This record gives sequence, structure tokens and C-alpha cells, in this order.
Amino acid sequence: MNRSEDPLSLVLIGGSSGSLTLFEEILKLLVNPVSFALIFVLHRGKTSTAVLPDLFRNKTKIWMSEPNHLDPILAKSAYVAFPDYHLLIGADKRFYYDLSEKDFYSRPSVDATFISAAMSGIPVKAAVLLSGANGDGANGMKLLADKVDF
Amino acid sequence: MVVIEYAELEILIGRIREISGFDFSGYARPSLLRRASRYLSRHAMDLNGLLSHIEPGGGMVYDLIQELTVNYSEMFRDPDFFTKIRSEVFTYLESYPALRFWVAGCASGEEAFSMAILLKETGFLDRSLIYATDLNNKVLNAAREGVFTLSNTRSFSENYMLAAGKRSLSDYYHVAYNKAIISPELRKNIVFSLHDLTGDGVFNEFQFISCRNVMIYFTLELRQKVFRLLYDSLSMLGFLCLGKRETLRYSGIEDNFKVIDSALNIYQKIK
Repeated sequence: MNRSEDPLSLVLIGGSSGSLTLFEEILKLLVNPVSFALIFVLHRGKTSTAVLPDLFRNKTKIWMSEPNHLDPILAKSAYVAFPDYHLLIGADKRFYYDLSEKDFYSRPSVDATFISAAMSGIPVKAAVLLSGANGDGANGMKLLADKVDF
Repeated sequence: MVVIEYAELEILIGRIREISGFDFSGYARPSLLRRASRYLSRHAMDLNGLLSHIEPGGGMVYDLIQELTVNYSEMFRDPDFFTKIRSEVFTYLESYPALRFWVAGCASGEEAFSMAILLKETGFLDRSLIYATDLNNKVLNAAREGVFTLSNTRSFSENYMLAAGKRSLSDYYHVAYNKAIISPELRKNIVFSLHDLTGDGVFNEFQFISCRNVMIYFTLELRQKVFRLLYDSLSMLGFLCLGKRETLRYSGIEDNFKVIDSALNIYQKIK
């Protein structure tokens, strides 16, 4: 399956640690291949190792990764933000990592990813915030609502 | 909350260059956009306000540059990295009578102090010199002082334990006035100096370079230039270490290295 030739659009999901199970449910409901790039930002501790995609891989056939810096963002894929970095979306359709301070004690922060997505000019099909823990993500949701034509 | 547009960011980059000579044109835009926007939000300013405030000779432009370039680090960041270099890399270095390490983009010294502790505990410190460089004089001065808050040292200690440290981190600092001061014994083998990876050249040859989470600042093009500098600064069979999400992909030098650990991005120069 060639993922790089499809036009890119984004579906964003951000959440606190409790949203993990909901994300799993969402994954199970999705039919492979999805037409968009699904990007999931979860608040998790810096010591949590790179097992998340492995954990989810059993739930879905969708191609999934924790992206590296500068990896191209491709449709028909799901991406999970790596712990202890902010995951940013570039206008050049690549992932960028950033090590600036935390938002709401969170790195990755949902705001960082959502705001960068809103500014990237890449079409966003939907953005979902699954969090009651703190204010992280609210600014990003507002900016997406203002800037993006869903 | 203030968020600026990419077009506005270019105006800011031009203005900073005009006033200070510091050129951000090779820096990754998404990260700059985030940092500049946060700076404006924190100072309750819009871009026009900032543009009129930064002027030649004023302090604000340097404050802004600091904010846009600062690298948040900690001692023993990624403890698994330190256990890995102890087990996989240091055995190669045993036969050298003198060792030179370079911590490129050292910020306030956390990585350099961690390396010094690791070298001390493996018995290499007396024949090692650690060059720790950064482009930012303010953070370098902080590094030279080697002073950290006690709350920082608590998380550093956790990392140190996870990195299989042999003693207690508190053996390497003393506490005064509610601060932790790194012991002079560790500092004597570290040379802190000013060096801009994007403009300055090779200044020595190293057996080991740690440049973790620095490449994420640069555009694809500038990154290749910096990678070339690191390559030219490494001795044959020397080691290059990058951050966990930085790979040698798109670097232009990937064929000259052997992968020692693909998850931790530890590489060895082989040609």
C-alpha cells in the first residue's frame, strides 16, 4: 500500500492518561485503510517506553508509529507522540520535535500539537480532546475552531 | 494566547538578524513559531509590539534569542542511554591513553556533568577531557558555575539511579544556600566554551560526540551542514550520539556510520 501519494488530511486526538482506553476503542472501530493521518497525543510520563504502538498494533491493522523528527506525515497512518517531547506539525508535512518547556506540566502537550496543526495549513478533518485533567488542549481546540474549515 | 503566522515569523527573523546579527533562517520553523508565540503570550504583547521593542543595544532582543534557542535538559536524561554507552561504547575506548569527548550544544551543562560522572565511575575521567560547547553565553556561564536547584537534583537523582549509577548523586555536589553545587573534582576535566554549530568549524578531534536533541533546532539543509561538521570532528571509529527521536536519516553522512543502537541513536564512524 503506497501511503505517500494520497492527499494529506489530519484527524487529531489529544488526551490525558485516562484517554488511553478510549483511544483503543476508537482504533478498533476504524476500518483500514483510513483516508487521513490520525495523530494521537497522550499525556504520559517520560519513562514510559516506546511500547504504545506495539500495544495498539494488536487492535488495528492501520500502519502505526512513534514518528522520528522530520518524518513525512502520511495518510492511511496513525501516529503516537513520543514521551518528553512536544510533537509539532510542519507546514512542509513533516513532524518536528521541540524541547521547550511544558504546557500545563505536560510534554507532550496537546496544545503544542493542535496549535501547530492549525497553523500548518494542512486540512484537519476532526479534532477530539479527551481530557478532564487540566487545561491543556483547550487553546489548541479554540484555534482549530477559528482557523480550520472542518 | 498569541499565535503568530509563519509569514509574521519571517518578519521577526529578519528583524532579529538586522538588530543583533543572529540568523535564525536555518532554524526549524514549527519550533520557532511555538517559542515566539509563547514569548509574546508571556509578555502580553503582539508581534508589532515586540518589533517596536527590540532595538539595537536593547536587552530584549538577546532575551528573545535566548528564549528561542534554549535547550531544556537534565542530568542523565534518558537513563537507558547512559547504561548503554557504559556497556557498549566504553569498552572500545579502554585502549586509548587520552580521550576527548565533545558535548555539542551543552546548554547549562547537565549532559557534560553526567558524562563526567560516568567517566569517573568507569575510571576514565583522569585521562579524559570533555569539551562542552554552546552558542549561548548566558547558559554557558550557568554551566561554568554548575549550580542547580534542589528540586532539579531530585529528578536528576532519579535518572541517575535508573542509569545504574554506582553511588548517590549527592556525592557529586554539595548544598549551599538551598542550591546544589557540582563538585570541583568533576568540573576540572570539563572545558566550557562558546561554539556555534551552524557557523564555527572543527576545533579538535574527538573519540565521542554527544549532540542529543540539538539537531531538532535546525532545518533539513542546515542540519546537513552541522552533521558534516560533527563527522569531520570525529576520529575514525569514534562515536556519535543523537537524541531518541533524531536519526541519521536525511543527514547526508548516514553511509559513513555503523549503527550501535537504533533506538538510542548511537552510531560509530566507520569510513
